[in-house]
Amino acid sequence: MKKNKDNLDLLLEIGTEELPSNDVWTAIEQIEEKIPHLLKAQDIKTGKVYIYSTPRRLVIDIKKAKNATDDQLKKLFLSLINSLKFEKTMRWIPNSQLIFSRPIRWIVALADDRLINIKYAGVKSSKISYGPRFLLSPKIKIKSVDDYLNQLEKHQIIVDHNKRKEMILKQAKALATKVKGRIDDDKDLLDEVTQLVEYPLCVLCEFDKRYLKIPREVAIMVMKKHQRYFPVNDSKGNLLPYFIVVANHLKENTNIIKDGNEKVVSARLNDGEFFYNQDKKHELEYFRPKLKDIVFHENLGSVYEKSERLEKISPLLAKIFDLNKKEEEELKRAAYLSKADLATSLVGEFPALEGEIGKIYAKKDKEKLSVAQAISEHRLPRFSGDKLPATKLGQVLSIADRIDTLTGFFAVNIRPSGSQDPYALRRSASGLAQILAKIDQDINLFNLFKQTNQFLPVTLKDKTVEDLVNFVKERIKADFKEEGIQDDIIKSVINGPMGENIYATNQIINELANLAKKDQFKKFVQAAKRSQNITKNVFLTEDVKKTLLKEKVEKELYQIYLKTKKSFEYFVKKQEFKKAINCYQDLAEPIEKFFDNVLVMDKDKKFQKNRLALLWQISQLSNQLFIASDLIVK
Amino acid sequence: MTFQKVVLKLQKFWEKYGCLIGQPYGLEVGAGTSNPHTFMRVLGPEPWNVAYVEPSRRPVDGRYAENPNRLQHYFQFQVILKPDPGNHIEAYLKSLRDLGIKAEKHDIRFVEDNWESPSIGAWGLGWEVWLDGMEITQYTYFQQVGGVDLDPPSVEITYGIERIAMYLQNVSDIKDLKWTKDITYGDVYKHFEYAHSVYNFEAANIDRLQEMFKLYEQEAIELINKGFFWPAYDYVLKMSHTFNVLDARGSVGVNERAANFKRMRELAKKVAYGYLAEREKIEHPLLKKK
Repeated sequence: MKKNKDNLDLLLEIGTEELPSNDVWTAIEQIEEKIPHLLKAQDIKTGKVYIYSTPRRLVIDIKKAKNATDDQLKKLFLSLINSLKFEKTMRWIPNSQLIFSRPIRWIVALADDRLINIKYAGVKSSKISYGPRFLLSPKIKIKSVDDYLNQLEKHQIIVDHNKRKEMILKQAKALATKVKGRIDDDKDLLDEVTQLVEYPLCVLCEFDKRYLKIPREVAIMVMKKHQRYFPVNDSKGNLLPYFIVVANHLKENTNIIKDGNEKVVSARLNDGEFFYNQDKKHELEYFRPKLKDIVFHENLGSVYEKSERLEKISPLLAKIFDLNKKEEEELKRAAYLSKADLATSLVGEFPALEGEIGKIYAKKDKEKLSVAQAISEHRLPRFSGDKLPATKLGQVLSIADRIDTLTGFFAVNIRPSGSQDPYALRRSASGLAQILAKIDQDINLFNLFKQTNQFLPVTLKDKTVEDLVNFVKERIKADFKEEGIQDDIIKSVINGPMGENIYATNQIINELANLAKKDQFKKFVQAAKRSQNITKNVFLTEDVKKTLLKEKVEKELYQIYLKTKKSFEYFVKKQEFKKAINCYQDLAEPIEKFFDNVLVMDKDKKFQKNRLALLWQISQLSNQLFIASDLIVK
Repeated sequence: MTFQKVVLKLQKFWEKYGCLIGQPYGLEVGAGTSNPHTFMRVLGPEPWNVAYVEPSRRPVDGRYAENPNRLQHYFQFQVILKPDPGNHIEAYLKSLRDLGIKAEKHDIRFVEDNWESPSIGAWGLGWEVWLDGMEITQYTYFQQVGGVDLDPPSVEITYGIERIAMYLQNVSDIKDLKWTKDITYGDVYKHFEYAHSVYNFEAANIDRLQEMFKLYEQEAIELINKGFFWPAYDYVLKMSHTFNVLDARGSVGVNERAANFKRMRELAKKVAYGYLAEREKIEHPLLKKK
């Protein structure tokens, strides 16, 4: 194979149709992570590697590649493209299962000034890149790797995403200052707009002041979520009637762009204003009866009936969750109003603001702040990774809503199967577990479902409650698994005696997972496993007889056990599992010694029995938290 | 440029590009996608390039003809390119140029927007096209329709022609849009919009419509069982529209919605399989035409 000269500069540009901004960012992360391995796989040593991106190109610029043959380079480039994974992918080529985020339309692959011939997704590499969309993508001839960045910049493309980000921030801040305002520090939005343009041009736009009267959340939603604009605030954080558009363009047509965007926003805000004015005529309570027309499920009644049930179970939950009388009244009120905003025009128009609008209207009606807050929080978490309710009232109301949904659907025999989960019951269960995990109380899941289902229009059998408990446990397992916690730890706790106490389950799993990262974990597990194993067929035991402890190590073990037991059980009772597990660790060493030096199955039955009794009692400690035999020592 | 001129220009552009110029389906549909020109033809291996206008009904979007931008009945200009010709975005931008929208003077962007129609078991990835911040087109690479993986995948371009025309005529109320030199969009549709809004939001008889939904479903099931998937499809569309009216009337909960979508999706799936089997039986005649 012909060797190339030392120190080649390499360039790969994957030209695509507009990639979603998230996909561009994940692609960059993947390339950063993978490139060392891919270079190693081809046995290529290099200098610095630069990664660039725009919505229409992913670029890898490798300096000073040593001793690479063309063959190695081809393999490197192909493996690089092939290694990229996206959350949502598409096919576009007939008779091909090839997938990517969006179609690949060109590839530039160079070593210095030489074309490296590769073919991917039906596209042959060349020395031609393409310019901006707004110029109908003119061809750009790339002479060499060195030439690349200049050529693209000459054609109004800033390939370096960090540079684009800086440009946007700088321009946007300057424009905001012009109207004595400032922009939010919104990393997500900035990241997104950075990958929506190849050449950023920020434009300051205005909207009619009168739209400042509609709920701020609505205006923010329109600007940020719908239009990807930067809202402009004054120094106190009040919204100003300005926004900043990040356009993909050069300066000359700013006015056309400004006019267009202002029209769009005022149409949207006008909509918002119309609905807000309609709603404003009434109090939140007025909308409640309209919930009768919204079917929750044909066998479970309307959303109105659901909200009635939430109100009815409020006193029960208040008791379970230790709320005082005042909080109980507030919970009832919040439950009563919780769904009303579903019937408002504004939620009809902006469904994502469900709960949020309820809160705003409740405040307007002079409801208690805690009630208003609970109304907005009872929707949380709405999706995986969403925030959880922050107030106690919000937590309990969210729990109430989820209990009603879960018990209701299970009672009418609707359960998710495979990929089918049209009522999002998995999400409900997962949300319920996440909230319970935050409440430091000994609450039994089975009892929780059992005590709160009496108002459902259908009866819930004990067997169904059991199924439901298992269903929630499955979600907890899945969620922990996604966090990267070992299966055996999850199983040993969730199938153990604390499995139905969600708070405890979470604490114990997290503590074991923490411990598993440390050296002492092995001894800890072994101690628990050995004491459990050897006594697993011991059913009836007598107390340990002090007089029958003859060896020093067993005497010691017994002493430590007595001491540990006291504090261990104290901490378990107080649900301080980290401390309980810490206590238990004191036993690990003595147990190991005991097994090393003492023969449990002594020929003399009375010694044997006494030693088994000791170990059995010890095993009863770990048995309160997890099933030791499920744990695996690596 | 009058509204009708926009339609004519687009038809002319895509005719020149090589498309068959199709016609609306003639049933209430929510989008051009529901027209068999799309729903059926994107299935299977046969090539298909078509452009047509589809009157589209979205009962929840009705605003009694008071809102300057919203209608419960509007028009889509739909283009299907199967298989992907590769150069369609350039072609699309050129079609805008024919309408007088020059890309170099505007901020034109392709912003991620993935499309899904749970009632017909269809989804695809693509964009909404922004013209100075205004969405003027939906752009989708169809991946599945009726629950069937599409091979080859089709490109769907859906122009919002009222929006484009409003932009071109610089009017801010849809009713002021000039359909011809003398007649406005409002002249044609104002009272129609008002009456349908009243019906959709206030007058529609919920019990009866729920009954109709069930009847249409029964009819669709019976037709499918007998192998008549073409007429069965019509009843699936009627289910869909009936459901949408019920939705506008505010009588569909989040959960009920999911369940009904599932019922419609199951039927759409069977229709899709029926069509595929029929094309297979007649040996995909369009494969031979070129």
